Amino acid sequence: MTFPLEGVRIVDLTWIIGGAGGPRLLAALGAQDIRIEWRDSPDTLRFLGATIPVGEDADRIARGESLVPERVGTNQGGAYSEMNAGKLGISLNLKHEEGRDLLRRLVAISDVVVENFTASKLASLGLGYDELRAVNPRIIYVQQPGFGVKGEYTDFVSTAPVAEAITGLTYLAGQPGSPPTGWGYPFIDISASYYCAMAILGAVYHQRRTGEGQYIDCSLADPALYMTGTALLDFQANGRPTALAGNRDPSTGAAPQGVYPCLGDDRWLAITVLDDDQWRSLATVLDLGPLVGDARFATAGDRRANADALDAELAERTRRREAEALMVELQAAGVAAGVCQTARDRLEADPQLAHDGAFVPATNSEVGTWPVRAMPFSFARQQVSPGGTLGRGFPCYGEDNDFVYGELLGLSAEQRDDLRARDVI
Amino acid sequence: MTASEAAPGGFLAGVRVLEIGDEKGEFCGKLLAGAGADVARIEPPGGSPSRRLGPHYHDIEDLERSLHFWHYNTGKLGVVVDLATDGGREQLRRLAAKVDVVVDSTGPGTLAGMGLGYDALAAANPGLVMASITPFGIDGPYRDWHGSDLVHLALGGVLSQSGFGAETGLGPVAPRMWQAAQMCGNLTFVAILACLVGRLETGRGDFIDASIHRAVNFNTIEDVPYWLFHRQDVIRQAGRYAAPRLLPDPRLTTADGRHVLAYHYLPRHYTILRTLLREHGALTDEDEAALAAHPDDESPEAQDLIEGLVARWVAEVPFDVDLWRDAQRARLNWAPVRRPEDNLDDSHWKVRGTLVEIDHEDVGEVFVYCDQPWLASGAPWRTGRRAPRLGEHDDLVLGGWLEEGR
Repeated sequence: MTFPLEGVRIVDLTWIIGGAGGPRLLAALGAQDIRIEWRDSPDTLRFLGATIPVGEDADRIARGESLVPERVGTNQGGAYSEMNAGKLGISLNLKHEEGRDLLRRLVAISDVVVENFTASKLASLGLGYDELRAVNPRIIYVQQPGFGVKGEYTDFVSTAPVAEAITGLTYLAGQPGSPPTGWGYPFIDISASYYCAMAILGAVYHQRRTGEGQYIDCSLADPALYMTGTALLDFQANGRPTALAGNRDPSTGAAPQGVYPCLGDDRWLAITVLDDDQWRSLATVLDLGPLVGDARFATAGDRRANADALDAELAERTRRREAEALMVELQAAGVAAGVCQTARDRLEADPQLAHDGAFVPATNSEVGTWPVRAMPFSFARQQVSPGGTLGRGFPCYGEDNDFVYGELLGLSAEQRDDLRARDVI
Repeated sequence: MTASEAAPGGFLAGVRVLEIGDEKGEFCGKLLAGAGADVARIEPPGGSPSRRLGPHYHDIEDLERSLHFWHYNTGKLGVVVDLATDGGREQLRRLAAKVDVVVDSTGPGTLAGMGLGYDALAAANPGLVMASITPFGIDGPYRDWHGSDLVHLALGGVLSQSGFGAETGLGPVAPRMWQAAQMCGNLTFVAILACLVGRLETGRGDFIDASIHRAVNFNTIEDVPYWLFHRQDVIRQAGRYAAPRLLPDPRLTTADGRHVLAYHYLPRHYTILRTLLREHGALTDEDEAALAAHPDDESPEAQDLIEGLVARWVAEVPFDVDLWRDAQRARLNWAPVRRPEDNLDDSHWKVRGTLVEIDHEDVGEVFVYCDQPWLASGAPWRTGRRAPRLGEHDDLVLGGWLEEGR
């Protein structure tokens, strides 16, 4: 089986999550992605967040102990391993003129250059779109600063929380009477990386049909605003400001709908009831007794109007139930219910994700074999896999210098040794 | 710029799509339409169930007034096909022979049960790319389970990280606006584009099995590595990203009860804040004396003192004064916690063309939509027309598309 993107080559100058996440999708779909780093300023994701254990720490984790692994090298970034699986890794010093020449030579044989530095960084090195297009007129050049290149906020600091807050994504989560609670992880970093992948794929499609390259201005903020649903329309059409609504959904009017406490430490079950049939099923499973005939809860409209009282009654009952068992029972009765699963739940106790192969092993030459998330779709005919055509996990720093500089650029071993000795690669 | 002035095109110009099913497939279809494809939104005679989703224009429930349907169906063509009849199924089979992509959210096995599954359709059209978007995938133990956006955000791991901390007893809170469906729509669109690129080489399409459950599970970030590599749970904490430990709360309250996020974590941030407070006249003589007594911005005492002064300053100023801009100009990581609609008047989006006007001649108004998630020099995003009325393009699609010899 082949991958759909075989033959597409990407020069990947991205970093952290929002940048590295897009090319990682394309590598999983078969593109050859050449991830470039330099040791003076390696991807900070190599050193942030979870650490992949090695040696004795790895043995202890395998035995089920909880610990913070010691970081002894540059190839133990936990999130880095997911964002860079299936990529080639090379070292290249862009502060060196010969390094910039090597980049131009890579661009000459590639389809895409993608980076998420600040807007003017690569242009200041003589590696902007105009310079690279002169090297390869078919090149697709993608920039991805947080607020984009065009526009008055381009120089503002734009981390994921900033992009989420200004666009209104943060405001979509919260309880009336409290400050917005927002997203519990950098949602827009990972989600905007999908848009970077879309933009690249669209440009590759265009290039394959017309021979034309192009310049693309991606951001975190535009996709964030794009994902705020009907808020803009509701305000314009009805004059209704976006409101904090807890876990209720005014668009469906589902009632009850909420997240209910269950037995155990911080265990919660999400339940959505859309109609009277589901309400009766819920009543049977939770043994609601006289509440079924209660006038406050007779129709969907009544249940919406008295949602606070209803939620309190339900919580009294769910509190005595084990979350997983109640979920299974409700689903069997035709009611949408789902445990608020942790990572552990999904990795160890979700039969559907296990069936799907949602986590697959990927091997790195230094830290060994660990699971990474598979793409959330599969094909009937073609291949898709987080290890891509390489069939492996993330690259160690500079791991593929010989292949890229030797096989792809045709430099001899002596030439590579010389470049290495002079801090070019 | 209005829709009628927007450049035609889009990189998928000439690509034809059928979108069949409910709201679960609509975001993917909206992206395809924005990319320039001609997307026929196939609906039953009574209209798509998503036309019943609120809110509605002027809060009047009507099939043509669902703002949900408006938003998620920009740029599409409206076509009625009754799959409950032999004639309707035959129409769909003939249409599927003439298009490039089918997006199906009718549920596992539904179309196959009508003889309209991928194998049957691809036999007549080997280049067809067919994407199935379902709650839990087309097979497996949860295949027939019921989802909702809230339930998916719970099962996929968003909720265990989002909302109030466990110690409050208030529990997780979900981001609204169909985020689970949008995650799957985004990733399905990526898969479709990859198949279209591959098809240029091979001439062959493919079947895509996309599940909302997997898409949500795929969207979280650090919770999975922390469990895999540390066997640590991340801690849910309101207004912050979940982490193995509690982090400082960046939310400051303005004079009118709105909020600003303010992140300070390096000594130089506190040095900048001293200047900012002074420039804005936010310091009394007593404050100046206290600051002078704590000159070292690396010391926790100085940092606490400055945080307190900043919180007091922000609390005295209304949200609209936009203190965050001054902080940003001083290179501080600040942002206003806006409502989405607060962006309608912000010229940043207008300059970028992120916000565009779409004519709703059906109600005699023009509305601003967010309809350009990136800028491209070569094949720009295509701002579409308003969402179609029920059956508005029956003649164009059932007549034109079917008659053409493609």
